[in-house]
Amino acid sequence: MSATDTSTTASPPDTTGGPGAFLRRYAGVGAALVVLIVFLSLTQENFLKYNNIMNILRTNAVMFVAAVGLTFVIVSQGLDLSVGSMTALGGVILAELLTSGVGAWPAIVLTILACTALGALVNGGLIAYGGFNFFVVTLAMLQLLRGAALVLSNGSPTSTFMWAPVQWVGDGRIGALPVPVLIAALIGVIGYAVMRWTRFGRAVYAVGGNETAARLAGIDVRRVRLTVYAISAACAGVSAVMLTGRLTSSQPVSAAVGLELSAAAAVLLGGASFAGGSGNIGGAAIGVLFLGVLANGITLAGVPSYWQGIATGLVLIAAIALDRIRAK
Amino acid sequence: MSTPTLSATGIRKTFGPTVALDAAQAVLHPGEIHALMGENGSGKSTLLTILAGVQQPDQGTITLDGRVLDDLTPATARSYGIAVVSQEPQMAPALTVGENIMLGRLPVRAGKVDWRATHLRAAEVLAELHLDIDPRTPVSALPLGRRQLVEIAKALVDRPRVLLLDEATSSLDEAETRTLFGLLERMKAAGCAIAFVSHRMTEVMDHADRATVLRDGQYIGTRTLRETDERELVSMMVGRDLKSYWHKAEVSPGDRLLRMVRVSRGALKSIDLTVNAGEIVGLAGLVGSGRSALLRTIAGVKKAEAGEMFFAGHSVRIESPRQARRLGIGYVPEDRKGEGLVMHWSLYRNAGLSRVAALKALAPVTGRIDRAAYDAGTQGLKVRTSDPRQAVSELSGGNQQKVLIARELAITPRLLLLDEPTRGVDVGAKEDIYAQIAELVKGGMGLIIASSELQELLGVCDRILVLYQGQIVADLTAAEADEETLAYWASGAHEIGAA
Repeated sequence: MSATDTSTTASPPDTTGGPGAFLRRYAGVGAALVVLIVFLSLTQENFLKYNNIMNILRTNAVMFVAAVGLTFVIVSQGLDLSVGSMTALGGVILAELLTSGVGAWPAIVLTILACTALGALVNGGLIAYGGFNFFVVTLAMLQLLRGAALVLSNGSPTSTFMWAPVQWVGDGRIGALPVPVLIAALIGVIGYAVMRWTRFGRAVYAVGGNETAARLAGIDVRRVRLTVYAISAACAGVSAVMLTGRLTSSQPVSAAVGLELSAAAAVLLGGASFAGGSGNIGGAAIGVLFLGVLANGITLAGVPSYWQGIATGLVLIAAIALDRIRAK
Repeated sequence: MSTPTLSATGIRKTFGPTVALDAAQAVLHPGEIHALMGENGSGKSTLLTILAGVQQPDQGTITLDGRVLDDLTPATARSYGIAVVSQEPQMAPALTVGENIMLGRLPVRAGKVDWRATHLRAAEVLAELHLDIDPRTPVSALPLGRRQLVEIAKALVDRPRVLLLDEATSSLDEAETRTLFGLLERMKAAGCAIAFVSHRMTEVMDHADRATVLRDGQYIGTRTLRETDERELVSMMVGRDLKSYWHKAEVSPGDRLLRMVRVSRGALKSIDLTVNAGEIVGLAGLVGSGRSALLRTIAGVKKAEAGEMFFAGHSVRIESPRQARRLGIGYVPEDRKGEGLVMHWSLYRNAGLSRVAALKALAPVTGRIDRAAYDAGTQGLKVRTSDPRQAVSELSGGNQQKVLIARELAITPRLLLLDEPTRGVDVGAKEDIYAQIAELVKGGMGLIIASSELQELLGVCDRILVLYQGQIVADLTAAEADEETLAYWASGAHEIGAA
């Protein structure tokens, strides 16, 4: 219990909490993000330039979409380690469909549906209805899906440059705004609304907060669990299309390696806890932005990018330590 | 009389402000089987753990063969020849039966464990128990009852002079119980002093030579079994008569709400039960008698395996809590922290959970639903809080219980199931809950209350059913029930009359 008790600052948005509670909840990482932005705008002249800002948003749109799906899973007291491999496989499926003559838009929809089905049937089915441990199932799928991507593609990338809609999703613009950023924002808003204002969203928090209580109160826990893994896979499918478009090709070997872990780090930074029952997509957005801005700052400052991992790890530990200290 | 092998006198033991034992005593003589008796919470298990050295008394004297012991710990107890068998088997399931039996005393030869000797000695002990178990079997392959017997075998390796058993028979079937008592009789003939805690009156009457009764942590008396009967022992356990202590609502039961016909599931055997609107039915019985299991079957947590159920005149199969709720059955589980509340949620949110759960997946949910559920559910319940937005974990047990009950009342159930509704609840909150129950039943709700507090059942219920080993053994009206009668049926004392 202590793990959940000490994470009260990261409890789900209590709609009755008012603005004070909102501030308290995001004060930690939010304040750190502001400090980081102020620091970088003062020390790096290029930081506040429009192009740089859009660049940060564009390069992190894929991670944010994955993080939206992962938020559902983590709040329900689970974890989906297969997100990165699912994204890679989605790219391969998309490329296969396109090269075999399927139209671009139908191929995009089919790719997302295929990923969703895989996530629902294998991850969701085994975890929710088979009673398998989520860690084992999604770890196996991490291996299995990456393997499937390699087998399907023979390990070699396929160019998707010819198909304009895919390029548009990954790298297009509407006016001055990048399409992937708009897609990420749209998915974020939908995810936020579903978690905060629907019965399903409340059920996810209840299952993560106290599974037995949720079941005895009349929530179909298994269906909720299946659905969160389906949502995570659907988000991975969208990520796959966006990433393929940005890279102009499917990349079975190197695409989205470790995406699940950086996305999970962002979700945790945003106030979620592996103990379940807490966290939300607003927090995940702040977490993704923080990691994105940090990486950007490291690049702008000319620090070797190898330092990025060290910085991310330190920030994650610091954020959780801060949370513990404040909860006491 | 002979010098007692092991005796504990004037024992006092407190846990914080709670006095578990006060001036308690138990005196065990060589060659006797001694029963320790008392209701739940009477302190008999605590006394047993003190005799075993697991806990140290605050005051009192423990002697072995007349010599005072002041260094009794689990380790020294073993060297004094005191062995303990606890209620739950304490074994390493991945190891073999032989390894478990010999654990801590594995024979060593030339720096290596002598497995041949290990299994030979284990086989000897098993043979003494008339147990046909290969010592090389892993413990995990054994059913629970057999594991319990292996646990007993473990206690016998050192050939103890004193054997203490804490409800060792609760997971044994009849044949296994006979095997166990056969062995105890032989150990007794060899001069061993044996004490056991049991809720089963038949075992005490059939096998014990003497019985010591505790009540509320105090020593009530010791009787020689030949000179007493189960009636006397039960009245010693129950003590004073506190009947009609509670105010009871005068109601006339209405239409039949729930009917169960020969329903069975797991340990529940052929349950027949009816509850009418405007009626409170109580479920009495020992821990493990099937009280909670019965409520869980009605609440849809566990599916009935056989038999028929009718709700408001319709034949129903209740397969999930969700379905039970849809029928209008509310359920307040026994463990409010583990199974009832989401502890870091606000009072509002917790109060709204059952209402929200009943909605469709994408139905909108805002704080207004929670607040409305809270207002509706807590009406008359007097939840004491400065701010219902605070986390429910910050409340006292009594207020938490009220929030949980409010959650179920918010869906206006026709039948409300309450499992231990006042456990860990202070007196003031208890009264509020009883008052609310009286109001509800006046309004035509039907209630089933399972409780281990007999006084509570007698004070609140119109009818009380007593469960014993998964069966309803008595169906009593409030007028004909008293604590003595309930305890008589709950402990299985009726089996003696029948035998």
